[in-house]
Amino acid sequence: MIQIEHLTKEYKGLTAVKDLSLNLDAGDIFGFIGPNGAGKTTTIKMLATLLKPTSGRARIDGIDVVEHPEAVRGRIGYMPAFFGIYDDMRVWEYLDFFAGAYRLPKTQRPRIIDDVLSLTDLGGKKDSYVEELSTGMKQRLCLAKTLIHDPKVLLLDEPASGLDPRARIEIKELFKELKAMGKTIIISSHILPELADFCNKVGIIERGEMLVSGDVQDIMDQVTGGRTLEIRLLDRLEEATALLADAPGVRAVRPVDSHLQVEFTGSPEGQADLNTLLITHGLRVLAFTEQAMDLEDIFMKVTKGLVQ
Amino acid sequence: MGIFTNNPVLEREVRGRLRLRPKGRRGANIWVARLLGVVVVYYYARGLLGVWHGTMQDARDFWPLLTYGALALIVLLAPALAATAISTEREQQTWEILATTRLTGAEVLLGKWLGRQMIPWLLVVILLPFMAVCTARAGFGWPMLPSVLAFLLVTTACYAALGLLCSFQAKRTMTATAAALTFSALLCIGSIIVSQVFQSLGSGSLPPYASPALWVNPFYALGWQGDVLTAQPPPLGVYAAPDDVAPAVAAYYLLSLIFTAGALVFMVRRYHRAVRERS
Repeated sequence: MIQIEHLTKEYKGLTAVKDLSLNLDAGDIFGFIGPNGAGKTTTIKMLATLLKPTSGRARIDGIDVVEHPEAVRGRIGYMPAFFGIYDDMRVWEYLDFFAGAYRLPKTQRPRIIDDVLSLTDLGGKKDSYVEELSTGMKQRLCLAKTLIHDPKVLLLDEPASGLDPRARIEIKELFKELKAMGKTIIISSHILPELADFCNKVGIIERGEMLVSGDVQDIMDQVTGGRTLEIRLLDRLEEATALLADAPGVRAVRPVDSHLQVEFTGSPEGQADLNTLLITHGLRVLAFTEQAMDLEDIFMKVTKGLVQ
Repeated sequence: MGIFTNNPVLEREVRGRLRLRPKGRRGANIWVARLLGVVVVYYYARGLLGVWHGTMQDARDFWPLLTYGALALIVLLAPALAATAISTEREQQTWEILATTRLTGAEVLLGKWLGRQMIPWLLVVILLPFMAVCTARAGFGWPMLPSVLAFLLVTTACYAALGLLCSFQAKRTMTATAAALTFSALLCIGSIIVSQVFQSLGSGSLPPYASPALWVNPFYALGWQGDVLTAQPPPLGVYAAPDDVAPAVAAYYLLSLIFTAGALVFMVRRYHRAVRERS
């Protein structure tokens, strides 16, 4: 659905996006992660036909974003990080305006408006003026506008920024519904646990370069190079360290406080064998756990904290 | 989708301009508005009847006040209203969203250009009965009214295009509005000064219609148009023989139309590039 090949965007003396490549299938939810100024918004704007790439190509649904921007615009729904809303309109008027802008037939508009209002849980606010809505509601209204023409691809730039915890949860639920509807979504966010909940693919970008991208689990394996095991023993830590260091699949063993941290690259069977090894050598194991890794850990490992 | 029919930008502009939105103490405001409406309608009707029952000379005296007054309001209102059209979209961050819809540059820009002329047009419509009665009573002949309306429409279109161009180029609404009003003042007052300067540097005093600087001045052009149609001295002392001033009037129309078309074509062509440059 989305193919990006060696996409580069240069401003005067600054490379905002460098040789970025990415492939997303229909129904993929891609979490775009990176510090401020990393190039996320620039990439999304190039896909939204708002910026022309300096080099490289990007296609949405097989259509080149530079050669046929008009055709691309009908297939995408773009929600910028900072957006304004026409405050002087009623909610339904606002959506009707965009329905017209996407050339939806007048006869179908009332039904479509009701549908997107119901999807975004704004049905009760149909006749309210936009300026009367809360920030969270305005965010949902902008999302409703983004969905009005039933786009195949959604480009959401920091859609949860500036929202309170309740509004964040509400908008997260909405994204899950969109995922269930089979939309292909690129979503950038700083709130990484939110992305982990519904993204099947992620990409980490820093200084315009995509550091890693792909399936969430693959990236975790790729970044960590395996699993980190945490083993708590009643005593004899040094003896266990020496024993584990020679075991197959163990890359490193570090005593941390009263437990051992083991970097393990072997199979699940090999992991089970480690436990058996300790027990057969008379070591008393209190806990043997695999350290959970989340997107935040990956992000911290992959990026260097360099901000342009 | 047509530019003039089913254009959501034009619809929004028209609705926005004509909407009377109750705010605050709604009940009290409505009663004040109704009372004010009755008073305005009363004096409007009284004024209209006054002109109708007045003498031919009264109508002739009132005519310039009406037409030049309308023109003065148009050269102030049209650029000022159009100057907020695009820069406001940028400031309230709706410009990018608009640019990612399927609307073309022509639909967006012409929709805004037409929509921003609503208030000046409304003004002309309000004054139209007075103009009609005045024309009839003053004995100007039937071509006077349509020609003045055409003049006001062309001037509105031109000054709205000027305002829109300023809004298109400027980053801030304040800058756009100031630039639009400055250009408007240059055309109306600056052209007189330039003409005077050239005359003082030249061989002697030329009639105003012979000075190209004044061909862009709407007040002189309106006066000359009156000369062409009535062959009677209008105010401002620019009376001249119809054959002498007709080229100057034609030049005004031509320059206005060329500028309007040129400005609109320039903006439509640069629409998406302008969005990208500001992204």
